[in-house]
Amino acid sequence: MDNDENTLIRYFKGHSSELEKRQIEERLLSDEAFSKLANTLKVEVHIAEILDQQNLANKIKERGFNHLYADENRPKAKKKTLSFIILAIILIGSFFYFFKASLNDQEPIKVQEIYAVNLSNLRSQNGRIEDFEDIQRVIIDRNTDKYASSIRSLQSISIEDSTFLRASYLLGHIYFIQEKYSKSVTAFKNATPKEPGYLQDQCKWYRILALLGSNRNEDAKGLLLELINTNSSFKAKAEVLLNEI
Amino acid sequence: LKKLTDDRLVELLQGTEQECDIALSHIQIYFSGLALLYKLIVQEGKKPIQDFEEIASDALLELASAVQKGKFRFESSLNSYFTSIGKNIWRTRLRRAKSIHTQDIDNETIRIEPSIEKDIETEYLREIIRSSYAQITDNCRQIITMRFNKEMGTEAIATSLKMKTQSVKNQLSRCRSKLRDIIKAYING
Repeated sequence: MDNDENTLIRYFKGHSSELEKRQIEERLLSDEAFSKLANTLKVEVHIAEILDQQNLANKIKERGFNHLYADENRPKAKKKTLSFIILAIILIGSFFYFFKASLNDQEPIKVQEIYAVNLSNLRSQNGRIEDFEDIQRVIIDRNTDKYASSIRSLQSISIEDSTFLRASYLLGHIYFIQEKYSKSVTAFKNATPKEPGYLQDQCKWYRILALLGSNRNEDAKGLLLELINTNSSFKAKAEVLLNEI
Repeated sequence: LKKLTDDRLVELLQGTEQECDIALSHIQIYFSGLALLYKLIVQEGKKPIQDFEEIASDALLELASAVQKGKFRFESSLNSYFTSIGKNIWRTRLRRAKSIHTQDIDNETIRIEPSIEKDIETEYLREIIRSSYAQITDNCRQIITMRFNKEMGTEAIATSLKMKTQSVKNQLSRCRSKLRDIIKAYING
C-alpha cells in the first residue's frame, strides 16, 4: 500500500518516468482499488501543495511590504513624525550655524538647511519619488533600532555588487544626516555613476554639500563649476551656492 | 541581512521550509522588482495597496514553486525572473477583470474554459485551506508536507522527526482524516 502511494505521489508530482507513467495509467483503468486510492491522493497532493503555499503566504503577509510604500500611504502619525524630524534637522542645522558663526568671522554655509530644503523640493517635484522615498526611509529608520543594522548591511555590500551604487548613495545620506561629512563625501563619491546624467549630478550635488560641511570649500567650488559647465539640472542651484561661497 | 547571490537564493528556495522562508524574506527586502510592481500597480495603475500585496505574494510563491521545480535556469537574474512573474500575474488579473466586465454588460452566458476551471478548483481549495488554516496543527502540516511535497516515506519522516514509524503512520492517518473532515465541512457549509 505504501509502495502504491509512493508511486502515485511521484506520478501526481510529475516525477515519474515515461514507462512508469504508462504502467500507472494502464493500472488505473483496470484496478478499481488503485484508481480509488489515486482519486484520494490526487486531492491530498494538491492540498499539501496549497497548505505549504498558504504557510509561506502567511509569513509573507506577516512581514508585509511597508518598506515600499510612499508617504501618502503611511499612517498620518508617521507623516507628523517625518515633518517633526525635518523641522528638527533644520533647527539643529540653524543652531550649529549660529554657534559656529559666533566662533568664526567667516560665515559658514548652512549645508544642513540647504539639504532639508532639497528634500522638501524633491517631495514637491514629485518626479523622482524613489529618491525621496529612499532618503525618507533613512530618516525614519534613524529613530528606530533598525538604523544601526541598516548602516551595517549597507556597508557590507561589496563593490562588485549591482546595488553597490545605491547602497553608497543611501550611506552618503545617512552620514550627512549624522554630520559625518568626510564619510559622506567618500560615500557619495563611491555612489557616483560613470555615465553622465541626473544620478551623476545628484551624487555630485550632495558631495558638494558634504564637502562644505567638512570645510573643504575649494574642492566644493571645483565640483560646483563642473555642475555649472555641464549644464546639469543642478546648474541654477550650483550658481547660487557658488556665489554664497 | 547580507545580500545573497542568486545561486545561494536558489539553493535556499530548494531547501527546507525554514530555508525557503529565509530566501523569501530576503527577496521581500532586496528585490527591486517589488518596487517596480508597486509603482506599476498602485501608482500608475491607481489600484489599492491590497491588490499589490496579493499580486506580490502570489508572485513570490510562484517564484519559489518555479525554482523548486527547476524551471529557473539562470538565463536571467532571479530579480528579472520574479518581475516577469509579477507582471504576468497582474496582466492575467486585468484580462480576467476586463472579460468579466464585458460579460456582465452583454448579459451573455459565461462560458468557463477548461484551464480556468482548473484554476477555479485550485482557488476553491486554496480558499478552504485559507479559512481553515488555524484548524490544522503545525505538526500535521509538517508531516503532510514531508509526505506529499517532499515525497518522503513514513520511515524517512520518522527518522527526520525522531519518532517511531508507527507513530508517524498514526499521526499521518489522523491528519489526512482531519483534512478530509475540514473539506467536507466547508462543502456542506
